Amino acid sequence: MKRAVIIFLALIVTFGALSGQAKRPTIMVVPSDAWCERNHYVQEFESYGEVTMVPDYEKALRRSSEIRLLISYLADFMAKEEFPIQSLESVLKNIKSEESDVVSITSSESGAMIIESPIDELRRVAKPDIILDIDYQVKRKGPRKQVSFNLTAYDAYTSKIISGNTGVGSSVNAPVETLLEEAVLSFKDNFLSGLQNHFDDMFENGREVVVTMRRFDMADHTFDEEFDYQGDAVELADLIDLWFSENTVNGRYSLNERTQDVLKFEQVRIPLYGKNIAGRDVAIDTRGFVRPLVKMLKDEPYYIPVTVYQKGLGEVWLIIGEE
Amino acid sequence: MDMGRKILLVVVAIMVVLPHLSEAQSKREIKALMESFNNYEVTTERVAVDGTKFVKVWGYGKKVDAAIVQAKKNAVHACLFRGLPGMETAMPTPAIFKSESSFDEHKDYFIKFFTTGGDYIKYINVTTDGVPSGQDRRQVRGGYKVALYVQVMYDNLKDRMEEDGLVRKLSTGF
Amino acid sequence: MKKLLTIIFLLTCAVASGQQKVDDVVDDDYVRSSISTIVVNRGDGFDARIFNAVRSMSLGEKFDINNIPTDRILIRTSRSRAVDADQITSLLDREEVGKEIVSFWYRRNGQGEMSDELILKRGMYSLRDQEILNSKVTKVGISALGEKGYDLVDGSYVLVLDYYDVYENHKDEIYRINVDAFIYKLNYTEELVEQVYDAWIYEDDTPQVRAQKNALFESITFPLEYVTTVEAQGTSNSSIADAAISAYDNAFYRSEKAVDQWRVTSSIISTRPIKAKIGTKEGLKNGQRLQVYKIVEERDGDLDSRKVGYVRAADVVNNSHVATGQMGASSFYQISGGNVEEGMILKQKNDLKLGVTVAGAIGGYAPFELGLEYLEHINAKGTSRYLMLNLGVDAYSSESFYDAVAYVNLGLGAGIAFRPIRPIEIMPLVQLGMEVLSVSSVPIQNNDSMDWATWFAKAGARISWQVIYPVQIFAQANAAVKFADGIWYKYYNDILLQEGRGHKPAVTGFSFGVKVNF
Repeated sequence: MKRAVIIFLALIVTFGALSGQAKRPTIMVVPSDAWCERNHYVQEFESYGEVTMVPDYEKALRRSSEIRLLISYLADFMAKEEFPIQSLESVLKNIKSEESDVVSITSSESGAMIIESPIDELRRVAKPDIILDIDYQVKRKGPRKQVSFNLTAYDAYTSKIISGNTGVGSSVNAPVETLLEEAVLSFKDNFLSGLQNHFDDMFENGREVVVTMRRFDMADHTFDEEFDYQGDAVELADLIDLWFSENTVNGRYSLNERTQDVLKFEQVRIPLYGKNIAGRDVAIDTRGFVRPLVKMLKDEPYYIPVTVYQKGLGEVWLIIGEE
Repeated sequence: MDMGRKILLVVVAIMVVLPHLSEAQSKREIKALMESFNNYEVTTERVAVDGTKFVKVWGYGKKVDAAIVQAKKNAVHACLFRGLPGMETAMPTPAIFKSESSFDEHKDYFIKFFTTGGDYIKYINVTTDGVPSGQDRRQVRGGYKVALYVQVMYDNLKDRMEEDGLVRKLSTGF
Repeated sequence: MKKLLTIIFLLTCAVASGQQKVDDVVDDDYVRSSISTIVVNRGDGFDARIFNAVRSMSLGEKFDINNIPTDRILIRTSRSRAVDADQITSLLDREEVGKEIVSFWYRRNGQGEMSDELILKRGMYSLRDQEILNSKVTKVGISALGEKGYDLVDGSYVLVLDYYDVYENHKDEIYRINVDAFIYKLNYTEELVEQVYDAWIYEDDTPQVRAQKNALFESITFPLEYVTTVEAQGTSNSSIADAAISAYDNAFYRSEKAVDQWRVTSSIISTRPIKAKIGTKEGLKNGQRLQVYKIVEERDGDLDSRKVGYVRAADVVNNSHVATGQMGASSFYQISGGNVEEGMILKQKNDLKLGVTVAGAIGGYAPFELGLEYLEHINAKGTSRYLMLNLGVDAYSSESFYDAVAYVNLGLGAGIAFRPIRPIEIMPLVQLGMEVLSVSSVPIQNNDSMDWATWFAKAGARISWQVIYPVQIFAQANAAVKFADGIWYKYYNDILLQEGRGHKPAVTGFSFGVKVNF
């Protein structure tokens, strides 16, 4: 009996060591649109002929010592939690050097260039898992000052809010730096606990992503095409649905849209770990998650060509009938 | 029966009974400790310096000194299991443990931790000037209820719980 | 429906009375008040003298002074009658005294610019150690300590002094004047604070914005709330100005009792001796009486403050500086009540420090004595110095000349009382006095009054027991000698001595009596 326990424990330990570790989420702090607008750190941005104002992060970082200070306060305590914050400044530099590559991201479907807003651009280059959107305002109240703040952490994959922290600080005659630091200290533990809950949920239920499947106009296949499955004729959509129920964590996902042209899987919980091509356990992302599905569709008996587009971090598009 | 044997008998009897007596005593103490953790008030006073929480916490005791000791324990208990309520200019602080039942899961650990003068004392700094006074020192039925101003070393306390393997670090699993 | 209304009514009453109870609970949260003094001019010859007398007065360290432009208001009526509060109120409103006070606090200048310099300064000065200790652990704490000053603005009072009913007798040098002190408080609400901030001019404001803000400030009404009126009288034998000052003193003594916020509160930090962190900054003086309270939480959670006893200030610490976290403490001596513990509340409850004694005597010069005793000093061990005024009467019908005879003596003395235990006082005392003899059929002429008198010196020892505060019973042993008898005194006294009822040159005696303190 005792031996059995020891073996069991040893197995657990070995398993634990083998299973490796999930990719540590990267976090980035970004000043909110509202803040940028209020402080005139905006630039014109043309998208499909429409001109809108979008944040000019570079200018904001260069001019506002307050936002730099806030980011460094946040970076400080996150570093203590062993989550180094991605430097927005260096990401912006990377974007500049990569500017010419943007053209390469084109849709082979339409041939049109994908126009990215600065935040999309940031996400694509920096690939943060979590974005901290920070907004604050220093209100003058006679001789006193008061900081109101709003720190929203959201999952870059799903844009779902992980932790919202809104509040005001002391109304006193003190330097703004002190008031900003007070604000950070005020929400720090509440924020960390929101993050912890998010991670706990992730470990338990997997990461949440969206998988959209579409049919290329000229494709030979539709999602209601029937195939033989263990002697029965089953629609392709049902077969794909079956794959999701088998491969998601605890079978959690929802098929929200189902037509012969489109299948939209939302709230898809993908495991943090999967097997790479070599068959070893590794942390996987959305693209890694759908790889077996793509392989299944391309193989016998379907022979359906599939193209995978990664859209942001938390969404992939699988276009069938085009390769 | 000669004298020597009588003495021996008495000594043996004492040796047998004594440990039980002290055990009974400590059982009562534990019960009292658990009861006082069930019912206390704590409020956030203001945002404290980095890594700490500044609270006003109440304690009950038969004597003022006992009430003060209990208030100190309550301050640490609140950070561990209850969380601290927010106020107008300070956000709430979540408890280090997700649920109060964690106390029972690690009961031996915490009974020892919260022994008077135990490890909990390392995580507090009382800022009350002298003794609780005025309306912070209330005579109630059977004893006193006092309020203390306490700075809790929240981050250190959390680190300790992480080191002792009672809570997961944020980075655990990655 | 009717029933429901009744229930609602009863509930409302219950809530109201519950709140009342909470309001009455004493706490150790005293904050300094500030005062502006305004004198009512009547447009007569006394105006200047009274105003200057009041100006020369200092209220001591306990209060901050708000020097506002309006230091007198004119009400043209005869000084023979007092004016009423309504008249004063409407004048204060018309003069916008509330606005003057707020402008003073914020040092508002001609351009409408304000600063919080004074508020921060006074705020720092009014801090207690507890606040310093707390602030040290907060993020904004130390840089924001002066914030307490904002609470102080709400503690701004106006004292309007109306002098009337003047009696001036230059020949006999009697000067007497009455004063009504009308007390008002600035009602500085959160809303008003916000309005002032809206009218706050920042450096980067344009001239237009500045003009708008100034107009806004001018439009704000800062209401003064009537608190109470105290009446007092002052007398002097030198001038009407001195009488005015004396009346002011008396009025102020009563005001301190009438305005609850002016009564200093603190808490006991140690019991042997009793100590509390108040001192010269709070205007504490030796012998000043304070009541001790303890806080009791009822079963329903209501708080109640219960009286425990009285103490008197003994060694008063000089704490007239900004708190450091380690301020000195004054010591007190408990004069009555039960067990005083650390953490209990002290609340100023001024008394006159006077005691009245009534005694009957065996032996001595007078079988019946009345006394007035003033506590001049007390130390932390309870050792007290008294100044005393004693009136003794020995009156009877003489057998020799079938006439009413009265010995009346008046003594001035001093005693030092020791307390072996709190209720017991043992006091050696000395007195020096004069005794006058009068015989009903023989009139005393003005010019020969000293002929009817004698001097006496008295020494004694008293032991007294405080039965229940403020009542003591005492027994006293006395020895007295007479010297320098006047002619007529000696003549009649010798006759009365033969009768056996005259006053011997030296006597001993015992007296027993009661002393009541108030």
